Amino acid sequence: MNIWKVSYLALRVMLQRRLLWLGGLSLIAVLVAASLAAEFGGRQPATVALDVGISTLRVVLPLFLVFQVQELFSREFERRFYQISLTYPLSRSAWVIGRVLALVCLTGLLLVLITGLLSAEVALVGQRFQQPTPVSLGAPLWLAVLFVALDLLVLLCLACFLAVMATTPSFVLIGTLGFMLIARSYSAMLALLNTNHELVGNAETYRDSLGILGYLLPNLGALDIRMIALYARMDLMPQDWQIVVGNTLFYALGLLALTVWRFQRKQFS
Amino acid sequence: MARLFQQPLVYALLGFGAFLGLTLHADNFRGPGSAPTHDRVVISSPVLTALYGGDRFLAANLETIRLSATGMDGGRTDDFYLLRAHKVVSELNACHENNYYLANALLTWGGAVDEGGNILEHATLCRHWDELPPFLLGFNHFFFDKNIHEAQRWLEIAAQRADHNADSFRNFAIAIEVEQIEDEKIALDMLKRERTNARTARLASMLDKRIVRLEGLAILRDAQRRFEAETGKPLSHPQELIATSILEQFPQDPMRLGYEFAEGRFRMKKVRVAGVEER
Repeated sequence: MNIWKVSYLALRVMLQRRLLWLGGLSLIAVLVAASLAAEFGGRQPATVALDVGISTLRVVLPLFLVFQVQELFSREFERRFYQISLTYPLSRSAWVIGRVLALVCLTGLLLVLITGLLSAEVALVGQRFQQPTPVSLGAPLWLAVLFVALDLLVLLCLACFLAVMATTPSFVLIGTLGFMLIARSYSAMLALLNTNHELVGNAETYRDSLGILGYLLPNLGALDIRMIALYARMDLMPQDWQIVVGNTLFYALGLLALTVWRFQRKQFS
Repeated sequence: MARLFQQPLVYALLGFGAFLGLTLHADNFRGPGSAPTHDRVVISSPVLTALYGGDRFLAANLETIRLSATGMDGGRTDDFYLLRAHKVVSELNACHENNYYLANALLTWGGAVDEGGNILEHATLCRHWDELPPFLLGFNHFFFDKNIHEAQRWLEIAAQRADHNADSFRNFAIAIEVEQIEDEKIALDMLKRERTNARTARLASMLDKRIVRLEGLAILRDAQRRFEAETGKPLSHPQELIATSILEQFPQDPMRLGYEFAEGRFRMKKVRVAGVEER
């Protein structure tokens, strides 16, 4: 048995369980949110629909991902299925990496499906009202979604690490969402604190303390490059995007390696 | 009876009953200092970013929807709330089109010219391709502040960004300066200089019409001066110029706005739109 076989089996496990229901729910959530937002879009309904659609995507897909990690890791430990799966001639690292690959494929497919339908919906909204600044549903949108995929990759690796470490499945949910909240917001909060001096006493110290997070967490907020699609301007792409992408990929690699290392040393009762 | 009080459900009912009773009579316990407040809550942008899961775009969208849906009531704007809400959205996403457009409509035209101007300035910086925010800024500087140089600066930025409206913006920038000059001869000289320097044929054609219009005014004022010198009395009606053969006919304005005789002197007629009268 090799990694690909493990991935294939993991995909089958997910398809047999709540996958279709959760995936469908994620899709509906994104399309409904975008459609409702377009009604309040004013002078830019297509932009607001795409904007809110991407925001919803960035909320529902981490949830989808965490539930799948719970299915593939936590439930397996809980129900002691590992007693069968680990008896195959298979290294523990292949057991983990195979599952991660299955999750990457599945989440990637869902991301592509939702983005495709969202762009069709936004195109329809755009036909009703011609905006002065149109959205771009071509390469800029797909590039923005590729950056969302990087964000999800980090969350996936973290969720797998927590699933291997934790004894309860709910810790995976709480830990991943907490990490997501901090990693996505700290850089934006740092920037906004520069213009909101009155918000906290001694803002300089507060900013310095918050800045330490930059050495501990990847800057997932910087991966949000949707403005290139919202305003069809590639020059709105952050100049240091290569650094951000590199940082994210290395952080994900680190988390994955840590997960494999921890799983290799995991003692099962 | 004793058995009844051994039932846990009885204690549950007593507990919830007491809770409900206290809630219903809570108003009697409130002192005079706890009167309800009437101001609207606007959360600062860093806190909003955290509340929306680090998604400043979502925060900007929902706050804009909120302010556009609730900022007006019965035709009156909630100015103090809107001032803060528009500022917060501008910090979250300065490019947000609905925010700058509504801020211009509700804040600037509602009397908060400086605050509306700040939001338009942020939008001009963020939307570096869009001609509308600098045009609105330029117009507001001219209309509200009478700051011609500042108005011209923003109109030039708008012209540099515009594809089809560049000539109109430059024409407007020249016109607002010319109209401030009381002496029509000096204004005419300035207009002719601008005509010579015009970068496109379309702008040159627009300025040609303005030159003819201004020349018409100069003819009328010259005729008035001659009439008053010859008769020794002030001109009371334009028709007197025709009657005394000082003028054969009134000059035609190629911009079709014409001239008016008011308060004893000729001046150019302006377009008047209800509610947008010059301050």
